[in-house]
Amino acid sequence: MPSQVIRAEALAKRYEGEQGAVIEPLAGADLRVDEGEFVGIVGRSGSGKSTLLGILGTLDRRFDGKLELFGRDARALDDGAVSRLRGERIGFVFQSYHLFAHLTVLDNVLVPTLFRPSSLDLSRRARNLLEELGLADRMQSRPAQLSGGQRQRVALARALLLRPALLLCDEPTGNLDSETAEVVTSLLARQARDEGAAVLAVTHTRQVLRAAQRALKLEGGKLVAASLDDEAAA
Amino acid sequence: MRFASLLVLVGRDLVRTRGALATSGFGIAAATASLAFFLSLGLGVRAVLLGDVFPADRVELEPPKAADPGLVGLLLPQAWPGISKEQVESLERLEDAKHVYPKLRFAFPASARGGKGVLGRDVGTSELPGDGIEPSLVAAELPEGSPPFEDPLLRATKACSANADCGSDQYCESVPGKEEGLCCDPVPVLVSRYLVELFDKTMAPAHKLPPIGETIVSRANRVVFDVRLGDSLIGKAKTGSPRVVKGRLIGISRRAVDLGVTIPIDVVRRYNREYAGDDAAEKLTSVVVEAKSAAHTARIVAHAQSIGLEPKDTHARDVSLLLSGIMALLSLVAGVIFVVSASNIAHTFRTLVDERRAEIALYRAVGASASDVRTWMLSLAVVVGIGGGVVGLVVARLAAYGADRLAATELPDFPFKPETFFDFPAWLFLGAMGFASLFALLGAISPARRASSVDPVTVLAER
Ligand SMILES: Nc1ncnc2c1ncn2[C@@H]1O[C@H](COP(=O)(O)OP(=O)(O)O)[C@@H](O)[C@H]1O
Ligand SMILES: [Mg+2]
Repeated sequence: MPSQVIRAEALAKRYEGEQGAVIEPLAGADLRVDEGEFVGIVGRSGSGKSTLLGILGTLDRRFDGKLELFGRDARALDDGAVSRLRGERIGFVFQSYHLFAHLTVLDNVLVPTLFRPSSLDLSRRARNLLEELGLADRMQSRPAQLSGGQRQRVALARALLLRPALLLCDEPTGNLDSETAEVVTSLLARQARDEGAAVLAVTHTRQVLRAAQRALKLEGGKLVAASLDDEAAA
Repeated sequence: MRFASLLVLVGRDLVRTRGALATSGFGIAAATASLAFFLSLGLGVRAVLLGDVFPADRVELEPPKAADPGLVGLLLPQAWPGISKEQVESLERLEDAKHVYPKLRFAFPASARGGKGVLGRDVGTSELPGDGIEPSLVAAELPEGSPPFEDPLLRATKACSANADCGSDQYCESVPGKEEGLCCDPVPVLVSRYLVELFDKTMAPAHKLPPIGETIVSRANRVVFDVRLGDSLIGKAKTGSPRVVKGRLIGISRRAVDLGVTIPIDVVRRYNREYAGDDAAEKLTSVVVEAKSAAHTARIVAHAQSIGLEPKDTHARDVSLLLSGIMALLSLVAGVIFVVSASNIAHTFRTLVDERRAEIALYRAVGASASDVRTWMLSLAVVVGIGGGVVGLVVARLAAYGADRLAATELPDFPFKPETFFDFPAWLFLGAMGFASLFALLGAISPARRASSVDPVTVLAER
């Protein structure tokens, strides 16, 4: 039986807006994801998809509800433990890449190794990943010299470097042409299939949904099952 | 966080933000330079003043002042408690003491007359106080070729019964326990520079006599004078019969008593026994203890006080106190610069952190803990502090070198003019580096806390 990576119950998140207005992007969302699963998440813009990924990835620790990651109560961990969990077992791909402008492509990919408790030379793996993503000749470039699609692939290589058990992607193909989107999508799928990672991808594109095993829709603060053929854009 | 990672992160910052970091390190460099410069100047000057001018590795000890019989003691020598043999031995046994030199004051009235050779006519003093000291105490100080500072009786051979039996340059010294005396050279006499100054500036003009300061060293050998023992204006000694001996001024010494003459201690012992009894010959007036180094002096004084002796001379203590005060004041100036540079660092780092909130959030997202971020910022500050400290020390060292060169060529020669006015002991380097990194660290504490409190969730809000 595959082990559970995410077990979230009744997740709720509210933002205090101006003049007492309250926004509640999450209101009782439940979610279970096993290892090796590739789950697509759809939902209207502003429905709370990014908020959900932030909570699942322990970036956002102020929420209501129950969250277990890898069988441990994520809320009970202190900052040191949660940072280690984030560094070693969770990979992020953000919609807007988030690369370090002052570092080369290769150094960007290697950043996660800096905060590991033990040193491990992963530059071979970093190079292999970049080659696989078609960036063999851009390793010494700066992010500013790359196109949007190239940057997203660098971000993906960084997320995959430490073979995370949980991969959280926020519209990973949003800015990519369909050819590059295909490369990224198949890499995500392979990550779930071959490495046993739990992959959660927020997406608007059918391409990604087709690669996923199931789809969920964020609606009214709750996650509901959705069809894989859903043209996700709402 | 691993040290290697810290090096990578800090190294990248140094390359990337070198301008701002160098500017904030500049203040630390200035503060370190002034601290090191002032302290080393103070230490250097103190070493000269206390080592050569007012040696602090020597301390003169005597019975408490209250017991000082003053002039009355000359007539009532028995009232003088003095320093016993046991006390001297106890001092000699001290680990901290290198040498113990005894001092014995005249315990009898005496007067003097002479000086024709230098002054043109004889002058006299109706009262002649005097001290006896161990010849070895001044051996190193006497110029070459000067007559020996020792008991002249050691070299006397020719028997006599009155001064008239001896040559005009000699006198007939009585030998303890013998009928006959021996013809002796004049007793060697040292005086203080203070006495010479006093004579030249006040007595000589008043009596239309030439100053002797200029000639005293070169022509001192001519200044032979008569000393009348056991008899002065104040009165006569209780025992012994007054007689006249000869003295010869052989030089100026820092060990000489301010007012009076200083002669070999064996001579004083002999005279004291003759005119004031055995006790006055045996019990010392004071002792000079030479410490292994200035650092040992305090313990010697403490021990001395425990056996009922007090340090006599406060010059050294005053000078050292004054210098410590000046050094403290100048260090305070350096301290103010340090505080200013710490706030400078705080400002620079705060700006740095604010500019990098997004980056910090991203580092947090890929695994940096809040304490990693704090450690990183503080380490960066310490590196800036160390850099500033090194630059500051180099500047201080160069400035000291320049000042010494200037002093060597531009300043006239003066007594005790040193080759260097500075002293840079290892602890000064280490201390200055410590202060440099400490203040950089202090400046960075609040920005580092600010950096570590950047919420990783910010990464989602960016762009
Ligand atoms: N830091 C915040 N403060 C206030 N409101 C926020 C904040 N972050 C997100 N929101 C609001 O929460 C809702 C969900 O946002 P988000 O999760 O980014 O949606 P999605 O990613 O699905 O487009 C939006 O209405 C957004 O305006
Ligand atoms: Mg979003």
